[in-house]
Amino acid sequence: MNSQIALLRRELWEHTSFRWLPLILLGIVLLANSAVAWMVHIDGMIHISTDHGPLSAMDLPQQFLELPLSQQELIVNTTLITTGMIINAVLTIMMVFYLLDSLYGERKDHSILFWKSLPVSDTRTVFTKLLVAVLIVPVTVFATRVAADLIVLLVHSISLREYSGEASLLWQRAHLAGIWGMFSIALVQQVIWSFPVMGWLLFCSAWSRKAPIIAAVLIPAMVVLVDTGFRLNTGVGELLLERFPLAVATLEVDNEMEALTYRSYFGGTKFGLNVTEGDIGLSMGNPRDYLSEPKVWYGLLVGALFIWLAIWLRRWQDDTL
Amino acid sequence: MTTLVVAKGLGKHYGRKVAVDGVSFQIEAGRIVGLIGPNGAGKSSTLKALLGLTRHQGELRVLGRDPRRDRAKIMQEVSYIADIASLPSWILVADLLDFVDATHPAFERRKALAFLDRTDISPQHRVKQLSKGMKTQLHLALVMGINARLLILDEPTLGLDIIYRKEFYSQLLNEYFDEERTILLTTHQIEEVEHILTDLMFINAGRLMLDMPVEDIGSHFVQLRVRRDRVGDARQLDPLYETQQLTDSLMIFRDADVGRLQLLGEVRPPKLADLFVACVKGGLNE
Repeated sequence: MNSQIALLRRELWEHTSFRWLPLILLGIVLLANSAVAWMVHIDGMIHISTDHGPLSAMDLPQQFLELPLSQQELIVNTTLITTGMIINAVLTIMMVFYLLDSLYGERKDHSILFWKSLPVSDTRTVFTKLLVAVLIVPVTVFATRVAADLIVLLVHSISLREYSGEASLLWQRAHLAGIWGMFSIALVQQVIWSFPVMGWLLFCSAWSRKAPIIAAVLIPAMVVLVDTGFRLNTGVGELLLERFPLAVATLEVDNEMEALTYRSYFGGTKFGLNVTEGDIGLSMGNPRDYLSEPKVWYGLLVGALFIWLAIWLRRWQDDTL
Repeated sequence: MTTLVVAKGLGKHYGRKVAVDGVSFQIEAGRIVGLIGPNGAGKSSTLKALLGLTRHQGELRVLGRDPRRDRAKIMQEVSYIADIASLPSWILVADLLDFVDATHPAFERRKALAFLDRTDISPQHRVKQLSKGMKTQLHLALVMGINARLLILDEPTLGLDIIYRKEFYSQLLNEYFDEERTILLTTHQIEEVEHILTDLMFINAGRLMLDMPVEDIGSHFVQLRVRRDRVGDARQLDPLYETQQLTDSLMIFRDADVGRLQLLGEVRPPKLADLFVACVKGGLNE
């Protein structure tokens, strides 16, 4: 077995959440969507008041089928995008806890003495943990969302077939290639944008003597508080806040334009999926614009600095906290 | 003879507290060296410096390299078992073997498995399911598989029962050790390792008190059992240390005139444990 692969596998052996959390998320997606389909099936459970009078769950498929094509697309794609965003958010939180534990846990349980008795350099060790955050987590997020999309479409297609025999309608309305393409670009942006945060988390993990999460959250929170509370307006608080929403993005639905825009905070670039007049276009902004943002580069630089510090700290650490 | 470790004025302090106070020594290939000292004497700090696990003062070379810079390279030829169970508790034995196999170029899985076969440890066990004794066996199995030039053991039998302790050292001696290999171990239970050591290093309060091949001990140190009425005469010969036993006194002498001692009582080579106490209490300095 290749040693880099062995090092990565070792991370996944230790952090079992990488295995069960995506499965639990998919289970929830399956359950929630099946529940909706089931309610439609048995009817009478949900009565939604609308401008056009009460709406029974049983009427939902019919209502949906009567909508214009662009509205149908909007509903299907919004559902898929939202599901993906939730999965991304949850797995990103998992990544935060992983990074915080990665260099602290081994000191706490003394296993650092064993890891360091093997001919693996500290640079390689820290690099492996970073690789989990920048590669394994995004790939997991992507795979989980793809599976979730298929589950959502499958469950409701089965349900819709009962009413209209239209088994393939939802698959036609969903723009999977577009969504997946946009989402993978969003993930790359997300990794680049949150790189300094990853570095910071690794540094806190290597440096903290107890509960790294306290230092990791408290220090930036204090900086923001002092900066805004005393109205110093140095801009530092703003810089930190900007990086804080690691996986949060807003979804804007412009009804008039019938456009759906996925807006990410990452570097302020707006890019998204425009569903306009039944035509779906993927607008990603220009990746070059994103990369020409000085902020993006400063972030990478700061991240690299923290990672260098984490490596340096690990070089001189034994199992004493 | 190849010299594996050279320390010159090796020092380590934690804040103001001095753990290792400028010790100098060499370790030659093919030896089993016991670094013996009471708790807090600086044993672990010395080992951690050798292993590149901590910063230190003074000059230190392990296999010709500086452990501060080249830990990863040095560990290709050095194995280490710490005083506390350091194997990760969450790992499966089979996965652990895979991992070491993939990351350690000098690991021979076959040898480790051969050793494991004779224990109750199964590849499907998780480390946390093993008793302390079995964890040590597992770690020893890994070490057996690594073709290392230097094995460093820090109180390897701490907390083990007598069966595991005896077995550990006998396996170490019979199955691991050969002329090509060198072992450096620390312990404060000297009786257990007395019969396997080739070299002794006594350390106390961060200072090296004695550094000598075991075979030379007899020609430098003697123990005299002397009756009460002749104690006065014996004391004039400047014993290193003295203890009372019922009707007799036991005294340990360094480089004394054995002929004169024999006139006063019974002379024999000291037990290492007694010599150790004498060195610590008598404040011997190398």
